[in-house]
Amino acid sequence: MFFNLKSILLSITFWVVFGASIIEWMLENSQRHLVVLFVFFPLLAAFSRFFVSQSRVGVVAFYSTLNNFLFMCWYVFLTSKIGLVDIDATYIFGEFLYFHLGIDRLSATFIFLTNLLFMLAVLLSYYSVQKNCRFYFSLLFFLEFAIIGTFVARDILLFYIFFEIVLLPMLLIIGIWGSRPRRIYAMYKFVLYTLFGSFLMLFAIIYMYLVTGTTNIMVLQMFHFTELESICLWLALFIAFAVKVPMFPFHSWLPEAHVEASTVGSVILAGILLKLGGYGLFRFNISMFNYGLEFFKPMVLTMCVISVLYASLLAIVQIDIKKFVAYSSIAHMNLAIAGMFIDSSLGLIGSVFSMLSHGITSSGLFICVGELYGRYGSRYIGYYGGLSSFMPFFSFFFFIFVIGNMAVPGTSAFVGELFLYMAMSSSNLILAIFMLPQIVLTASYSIWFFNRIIYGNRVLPRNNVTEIPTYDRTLNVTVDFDYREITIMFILMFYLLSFGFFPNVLIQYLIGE
Amino acid sequence: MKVEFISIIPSFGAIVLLTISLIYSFLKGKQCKFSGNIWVYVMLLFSCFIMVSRSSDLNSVGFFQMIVLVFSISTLFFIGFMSNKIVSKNFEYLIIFMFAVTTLLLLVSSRDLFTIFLLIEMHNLCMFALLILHKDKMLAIESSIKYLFLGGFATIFYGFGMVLMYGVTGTLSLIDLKYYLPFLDSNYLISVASTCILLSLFVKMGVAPFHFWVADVYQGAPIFISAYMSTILKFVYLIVVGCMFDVFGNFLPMNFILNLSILSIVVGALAAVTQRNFLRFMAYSGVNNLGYILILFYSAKFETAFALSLLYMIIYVTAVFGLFINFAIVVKNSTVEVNMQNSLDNLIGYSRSNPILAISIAINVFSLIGLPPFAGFFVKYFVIYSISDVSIQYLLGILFVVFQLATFYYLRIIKLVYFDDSNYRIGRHYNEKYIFSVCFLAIFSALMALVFSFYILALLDFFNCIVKIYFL
Repeated sequence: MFFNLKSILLSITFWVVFGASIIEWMLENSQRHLVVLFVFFPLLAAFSRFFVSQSRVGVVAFYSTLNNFLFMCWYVFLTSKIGLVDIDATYIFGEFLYFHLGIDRLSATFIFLTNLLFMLAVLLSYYSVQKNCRFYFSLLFFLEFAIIGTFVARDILLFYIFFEIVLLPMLLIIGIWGSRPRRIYAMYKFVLYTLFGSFLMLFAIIYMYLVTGTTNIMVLQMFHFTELESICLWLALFIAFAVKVPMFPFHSWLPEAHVEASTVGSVILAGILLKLGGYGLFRFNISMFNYGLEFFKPMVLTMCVISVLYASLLAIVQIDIKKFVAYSSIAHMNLAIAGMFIDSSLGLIGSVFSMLSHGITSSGLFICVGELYGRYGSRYIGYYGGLSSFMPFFSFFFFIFVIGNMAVPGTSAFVGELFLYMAMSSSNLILAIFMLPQIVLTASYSIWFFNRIIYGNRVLPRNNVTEIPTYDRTLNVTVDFDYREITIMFILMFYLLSFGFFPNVLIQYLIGE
Repeated sequence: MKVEFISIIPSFGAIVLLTISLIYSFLKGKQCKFSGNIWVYVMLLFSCFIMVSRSSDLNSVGFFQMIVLVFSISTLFFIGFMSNKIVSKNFEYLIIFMFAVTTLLLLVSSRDLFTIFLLIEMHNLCMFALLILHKDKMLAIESSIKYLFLGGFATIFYGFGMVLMYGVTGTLSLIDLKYYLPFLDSNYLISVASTCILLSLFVKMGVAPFHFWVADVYQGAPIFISAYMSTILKFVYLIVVGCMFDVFGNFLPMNFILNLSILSIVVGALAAVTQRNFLRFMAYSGVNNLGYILILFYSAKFETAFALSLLYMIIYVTAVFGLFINFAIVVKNSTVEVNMQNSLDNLIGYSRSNPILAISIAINVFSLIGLPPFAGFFVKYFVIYSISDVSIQYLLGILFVVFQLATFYYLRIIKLVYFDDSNYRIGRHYNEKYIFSVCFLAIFSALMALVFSFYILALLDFFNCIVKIYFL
């Protein structure tokens, strides 16, 4: 369905239309307004999905996301030249909510990840979504709109609004297309936990607005709060993002939500929504409240270390393959967050790198694991064994993402971890010493996980092991990845390895010049 | 007694016409059937005539009356949709409903304590008859008698306060009181009198700890009367309460009102968690939202507070009315036995039977939760903003917990509609009875929740203007 003439013509038409508008905007020198188009294009896509017939909605969705992705690549190129693209559009909400958008290089990095993962998400759910296809794709695009909105907002109240809009399609995606009855519990936990942090953030925003009279991020970064104010506001914002990241006491929503969501839900949750927490920490907690930051640094670093070690230890003993990937997600994200809170620009770069590569690797792992679940109907790790003998493509790509998880040199995860450990050793040696077991534990759980599934003897199905009756596990060529899934995996692998072998591209983009 | 009689022409005219038709059919010997649509259009025409003719007197009463008319017309559509044999046989039901609407129209324009007293009593009588539609059900009898007794009880307190006020000041006109009271010292008797009046109005609205009647009355009432009570009645009583705050503002015990509002918020949230009946659920969520509105009167000066509370009430009322209409559509279109008709579990699987109306429910519920980008978020933002302005930190802590509790019980509706627990479905849905007017109302309420969020500041300015021209 992809490579026939009709779809090629459709894509050419899309590009002609949008390319023409791009060129026209460039000629008018009004590149700034493209940011608005950028944010709202997925929203338009969301509404238009209802008018497409059920059978063709996948194709149209794919080309929309491809379009968005290529559009975004052009935009990344633009910010590498200019630095910060800013638009101040106060026409909608007026005084108390400036509709103030802007992309700088950090935002563009995460938006790149968002668009990449949504394109792959649409490819993934091409055939696997059976009921309510149009509603599903509409929700997916609405989610994309909300996520890009958070990365693009330059006003803290607007950021908060988008931050909460993210919950809406996510809860519907988890609840409708999840597979077990426990998804309702997971949905409640996810929403209420995130709202727990968000309400604290709302109170902090209102307090800041009362004290300073503005909600603009640039102005708030320069404002000098008293010490008590700084501490309380920092803590409120920190809890909001610590729930999202997630850090140790606030992490228990993540295994539930990741396990119960469908594959695409998990990919987007792990790939992007966790980065929202990291991005928020970067934008608000590090830049805004100096006294609070200094006051709480030891606490944050302790929480990160505990999370990393705890999650890594828990990942070793998991028997549910999705929960395993969820716990490894926690470990990686907390390592990246630890890198943010040491006084080192190398740490910040390593943190961004690590978050980006975590987006790629954990999405890849979730896709692999989700494909297994889709084929065999079981998430129990004892069910699998010796898959390499008849699923070679799957084994290859699974291997690539597992070594990405372990941060083997050659992958972008290695670059991120290298920078992080270099920064930690130079600024806070005790932190580095306590973090070091993470390398061993990551390697151990990744390799053991991989070995149990891919190598070893083939296991016959036992009686009371599976949840759903499964297929017969004979050597069956069509059980392996098909063309579409190989494409998805290849794209992810390409970015993983290219950022690993040529990290300068991203580093120079982030630093500038 | 300053009352604008011209404002009751639409409803009074409708009453006259209906009575004429009743007498006509009686004389002809056949039974008068309820074909509600004609009179609705009659009322619409008369109301348009009234709104045009009110331009001479710059007063915000016209806006309030328009809101009352809009919602009563919506309720008429609702009655028409739900009309079963009982309503058709009892044609006087419509006449009594018109009386109730007339009293509300007069109530928003009354400027006198005695007028308000008479109109509240008249409305009590009308409600007593309206609530008891299904005469042979115990719940209906219970709701009607509870409403009558508790309404009468409230009116007794109102009468006591009114009489005391007359004894102290010698006048009952609110306009005179507003200009006369600032010259008095803080007289204890005036405080007592105004508190009595205000508390009686709180009983009628359903503020905790006077809320115990609300759930039982809503449960026994027919669903359109529940919708009517929880939307337009609350709005009108809010206007009267605002009137009282305007006149007696300095003499009222503000700390006590703060305590009442905190109690409302907490009690409403806690009670709504465990409800399995849709009508009781809406009653308790109404108690919860009334708490937010009352806090505004504590934490801001009168004009801002009144404007914000009107804005909150409009958005709340739109969302709640949409929920009632959606629920009625669900119940009407499913094979459900009468005893389980108001159970929340009827909503199960609605997203499969009618996805568009399921989205309408979802948007209304998200607006009530306070999730951006819907309008409910912005009004809750204003509430939190005004609380932070006066720095009541413990209230912020309470609100923090209550917001999550409220999210849980509103999300349960989303869960029932979308996340199919098909084992517990009570009846089966079928797609037959969709009248355009009711579907339009359901979708319109969802659209309003979306649209209001874009024009929230324009609405705020509008309500500020309304309050400024709200002369007493």
